[in-house]
Amino acid sequence: MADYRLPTTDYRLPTTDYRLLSMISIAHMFFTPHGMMFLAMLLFLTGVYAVTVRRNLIVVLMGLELMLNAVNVALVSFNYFSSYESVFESGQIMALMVIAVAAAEAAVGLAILVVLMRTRGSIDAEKAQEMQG
Amino acid sequence: MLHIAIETAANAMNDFNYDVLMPLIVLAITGSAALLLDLFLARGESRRSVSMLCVTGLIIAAGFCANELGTNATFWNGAVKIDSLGLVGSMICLVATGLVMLGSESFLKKHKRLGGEYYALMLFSSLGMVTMCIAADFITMFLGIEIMSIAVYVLTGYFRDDTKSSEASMKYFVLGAFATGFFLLGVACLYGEYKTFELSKFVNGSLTESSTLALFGCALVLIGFFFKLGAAPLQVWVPDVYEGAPTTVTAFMATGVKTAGFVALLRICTSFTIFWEERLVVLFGAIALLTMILGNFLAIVQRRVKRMLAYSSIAHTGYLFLGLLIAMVKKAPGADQGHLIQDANAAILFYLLGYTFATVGAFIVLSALSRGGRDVETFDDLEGLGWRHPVLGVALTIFLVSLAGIPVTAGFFGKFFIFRTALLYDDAYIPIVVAAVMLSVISVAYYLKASVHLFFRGKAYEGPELETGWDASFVTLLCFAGTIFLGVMPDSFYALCKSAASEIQVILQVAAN
Amino acid sequence: MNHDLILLIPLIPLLGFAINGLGGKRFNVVGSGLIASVAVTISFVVSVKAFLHVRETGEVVSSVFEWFEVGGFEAHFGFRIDQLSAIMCLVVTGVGALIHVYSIGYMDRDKNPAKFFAFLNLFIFAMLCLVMGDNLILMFLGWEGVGLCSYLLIGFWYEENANADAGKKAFIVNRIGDFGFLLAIFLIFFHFGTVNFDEMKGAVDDELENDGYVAGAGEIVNEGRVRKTLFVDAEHEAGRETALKSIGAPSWTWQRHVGLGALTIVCLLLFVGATGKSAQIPLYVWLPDAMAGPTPVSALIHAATMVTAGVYMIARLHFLYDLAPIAQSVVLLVGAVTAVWAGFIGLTQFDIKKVLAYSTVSQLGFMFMAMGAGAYSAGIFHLVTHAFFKALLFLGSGAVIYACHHEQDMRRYGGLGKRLPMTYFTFIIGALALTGIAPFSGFFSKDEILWVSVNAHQFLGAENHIFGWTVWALGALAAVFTACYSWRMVSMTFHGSYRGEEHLPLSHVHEAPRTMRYVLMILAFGAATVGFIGIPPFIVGESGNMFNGFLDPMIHTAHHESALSPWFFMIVTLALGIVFAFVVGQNFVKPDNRITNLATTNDVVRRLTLWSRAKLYVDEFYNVVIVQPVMWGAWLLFAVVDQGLIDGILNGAAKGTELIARAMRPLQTGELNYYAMTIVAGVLVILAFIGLDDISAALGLASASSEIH
Repeated sequence: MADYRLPTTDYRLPTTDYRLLSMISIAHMFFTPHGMMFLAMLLFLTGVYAVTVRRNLIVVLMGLELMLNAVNVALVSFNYFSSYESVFESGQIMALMVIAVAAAEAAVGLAILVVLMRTRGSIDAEKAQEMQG
Repeated sequence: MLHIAIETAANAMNDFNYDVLMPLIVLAITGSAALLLDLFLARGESRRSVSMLCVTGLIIAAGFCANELGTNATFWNGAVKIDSLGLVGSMICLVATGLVMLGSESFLKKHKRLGGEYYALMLFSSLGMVTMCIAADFITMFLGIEIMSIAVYVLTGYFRDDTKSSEASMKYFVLGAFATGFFLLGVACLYGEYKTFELSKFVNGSLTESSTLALFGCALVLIGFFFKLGAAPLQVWVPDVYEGAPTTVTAFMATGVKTAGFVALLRICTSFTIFWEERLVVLFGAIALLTMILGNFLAIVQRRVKRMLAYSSIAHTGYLFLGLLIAMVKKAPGADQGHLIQDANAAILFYLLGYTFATVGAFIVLSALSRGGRDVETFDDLEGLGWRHPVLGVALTIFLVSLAGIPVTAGFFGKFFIFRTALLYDDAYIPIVVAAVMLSVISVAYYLKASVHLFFRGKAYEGPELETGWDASFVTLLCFAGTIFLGVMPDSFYALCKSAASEIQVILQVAAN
Repeated sequence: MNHDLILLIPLIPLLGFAINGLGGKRFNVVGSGLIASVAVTISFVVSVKAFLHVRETGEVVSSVFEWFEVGGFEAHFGFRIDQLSAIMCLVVTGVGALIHVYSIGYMDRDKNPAKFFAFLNLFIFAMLCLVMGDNLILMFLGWEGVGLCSYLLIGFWYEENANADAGKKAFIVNRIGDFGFLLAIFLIFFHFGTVNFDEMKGAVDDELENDGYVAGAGEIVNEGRVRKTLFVDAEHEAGRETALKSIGAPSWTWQRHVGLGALTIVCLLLFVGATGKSAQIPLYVWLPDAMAGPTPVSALIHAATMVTAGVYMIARLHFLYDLAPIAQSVVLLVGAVTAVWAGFIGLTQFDIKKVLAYSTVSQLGFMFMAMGAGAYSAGIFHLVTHAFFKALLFLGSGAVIYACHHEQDMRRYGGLGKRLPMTYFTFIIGALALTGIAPFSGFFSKDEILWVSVNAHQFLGAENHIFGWTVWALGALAAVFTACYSWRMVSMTFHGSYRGEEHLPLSHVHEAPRTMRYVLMILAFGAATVGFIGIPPFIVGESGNMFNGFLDPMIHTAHHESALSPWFFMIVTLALGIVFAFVVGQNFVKPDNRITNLATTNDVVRRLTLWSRAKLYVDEFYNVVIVQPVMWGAWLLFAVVDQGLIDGILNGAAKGTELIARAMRPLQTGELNYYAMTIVAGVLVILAFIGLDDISAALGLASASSEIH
């Protein structure tokens, strides 16, 4: 484990831990409008991937949560970077709403999974295709 | 920053107006009361008291909506817009909910799934619909969409021992939440561009040039709505979910959800002039055409009645998109655009009410008919039932005739108003209107297939006694009366719809300045 | 008289429909039949009153109320009785009432007579809406309504699949026609901004008055918006008109010639509608199949009233056709060809109702000839006389069918004249009227049509004198066919000796009930005498022709001049009719083996038969399809064109639609992940549509950052 206390006698840099330094600089790089949007898109696409490709419905649910949280990242960062313009922190409010709704959705989603498990004995998306055409 | 805060505080007295929220409050209280009342009823006991309570709540809420008619203002810090468009839309949603609720009891009893939560969920869902109809910013609209959708996800899986019902619920839930994700991403993009969620704030400055982020956001928001409305290419879920859901819930989904979705979409499209961007207009035209073609053609080959109605519902989304398209095309500056949007909106609202009566009626008749104790599923199951139940049979025929757009029914005037508005304003619509007319001619084939099976195939059905409750017959008659009334005297409701759209002109003047 | 009184005419049959429809099985055949008959009779009485009013005062009786008014578009729900609709109302309610009474006897063995009479009354209501409506929308509603009733009544005995199929065929074929009609209504509304007949006529008259031709207006201001005229180029027409005027050309060359403008298209589309409803080439195929319905239905709907709706529609809109000579030529030609075509097929049919059905198609062809020749009153006159004698013939055949226990094959008839004297007597009168033998009604009307067709000056808008003669020749040929099939039918049914002994002993054949016989007598009286209201002007002078005189305010009959004396044409057609009626009638009384072998009946047929013999292998090949060994020429038309080609096209269209749908179906796999993927694909397509460059820019956040900083 690295020692994270700042050295008092070193005048060259606040820290010699280059791993920490690189993490901080990467975080700074991300902490821009571009970076946060990039992060949000990355999370969103991960979620989309989970929903479209994975057959296990638990993973699909996780993908859905990931998509909503990606949007939250975008909302909060947009709000942060433009807060001097807006009186109300509406982006933050929206994010709170999304969190609440995501919780409700998760509850309903898991309940549906329980029902599906009971009627079909499987939560594989592929098994549930009685209706088609 | 300070002066804005002071201004806001000064407006607060008028702004935070509880009167305008009365429909929502009534619905929320009634829904909770229904859940409480349900606790006192034994298992398997009739839930008619609960449904009556809920219908009373709906009537009171509709009364509050009607009382507000004539208001045209924004409240709650730009979160809620009370105008006739939203109020008429809300009332259509409430009418749909009420009709379905009234007609559900005997169907649920037949399937031994009586429960108060059914009615409470439907009521909460209608609460979401009303919220959508009157929402003036994306936060409110998102909440409305989710309140509506989550309740409908649960209702879809209401027959929890039925594999189809639970499968439909799962599909609807996953795909619905998936589409919500896209919708939210779009909202976030628009927020990034305009720093606000208020629809009215989007007007300024976005008319001339729209940035990439805004266009991207618009497209994603639209995708959310395309999904909810079942427009191609996002219509895949519709047939499966409509087929699997309990028939009464399907009636509710096909009408209430669609109405609320269209009203919200109308509000977005007409208040946010970026949507008149030419590429988006072309996109709408393409989607309208594709939806009509897919819906009508796939409906022809269906053997199951509910699936046929599901595809027909897709086709109707296509016709309604044609109306939206008309509203969005940018014209020469002046009052003409106002008239155009006014006519198009009125046509869409009229269409939605006519469609609601016909669709609720058709599904309720289907839920009431049964053959040897079994629900009617395929067309063959309908054979000979018409003579056994002439009232339901004739009513179903009239509903299908209305959906096909044959006079003297509401459906005819719905199509008539949309097509007429299109032809009145621009000759460029002639090809798409001709296509729509031809497709609706094709639709006669599959609609009347049901009537032919009811009356002209096989012997009159002599099997076990049919369980048709008086409630289903009552709702059928109500829908029948509505369909014929709108078909015989369309101007009464059309005038109301038109007043609903008259505020648009004000917005346009703002946009022009 | 109170103008609103005319509302009773359609509303009372509607009331009858409601009583019978709701009363259901509570009424027996006499009860429900009486309700229905009384309802139509009251309508008839009111119609007579309105007719007399119109005749005395000459004014149009109309009752208008506003139906709906939206966005500058008003629809007035108006009924009107003018000279034209008064005549139609009399025919519909008069003949209708008789057929209702007849049905009481005919349907006495039916299980569900209330349903039957309810549909009949509904039909009368719809037909009266069609006839009395003062605008195209109301006419179209009636048009669809009669179609629906026809469909319901053809398939009335729906347990038999053939009947249901016949109903379906009628339905599909009529949809094609209705599509044309509907398009025409759209175009008319587009151009005139109204669908009201009076307003349309007013618009046409105004333009004619101001500019001398309709195209002249160039633009019509409608609801504050200027719309382009749908007619031909105005300037070009104006120049043409001046040029023609300056050389002193007759007025019709410049006034009526508007080229292939929208008016022509409108008239042609209307005619497409008419061919569907009135069973003309190429959409006539449903009518013979429609004979599957009960015989009173055939008499009422498929002979006397509904099928004449197309003729009525053209008469109603004659002011448009007057300005569209190309459409007129098409109507004339199609009418003439249909008259011959259907008459030819009718020659060899064995089902007595099929013969009458083809005869109806043929007679409708005559009516359209009159319409195309611009002699609208002659066409309407034939419509009236035809309603009497064809209803009589159908009801007579119904009486025979009733007597023979629903046997319709004429090869199992023969010598019934002695057993059914009353039916025989009235049938002969009907056949005389149909053949056009003086002084029975068909003589006057058919003669007038043939005479006016000679006067058709123009073919497709250009001067052409041969055209008139060609059409006249076709009409005369059709008249010859009429004589042949009528008297073949009479002979096979009533003359000679009985041939159906092994199916039904002659002793079991009984005359129909009294109600049916009385109706036959009344109709026979009508068929014999109704022609006298339209005696040709060259015999009794212009004022002597009561029919044209009455219609004159509505439809002015132009005075015709022809190279030859009208007496010539009259004598020629009369002689042809008598000769062929006599020859054919004689032939079919001969020994029974001649009946199925048509080769020796007369010269024309013998030659055609020899021609057909050379290609007998085709005959054998299709023998399975067509059970009866019919004459090959008529068979070619009947089997290949009628049954094969046209049905093939119809079925092909239906198959094509279904194929497209089946190709789309695999899109719905029912699999969740797949659905999610299609949604993603949809999202990508939509985003790509909005612009690839924009998407990449959005991903790069170029614009976002520029907005933020």
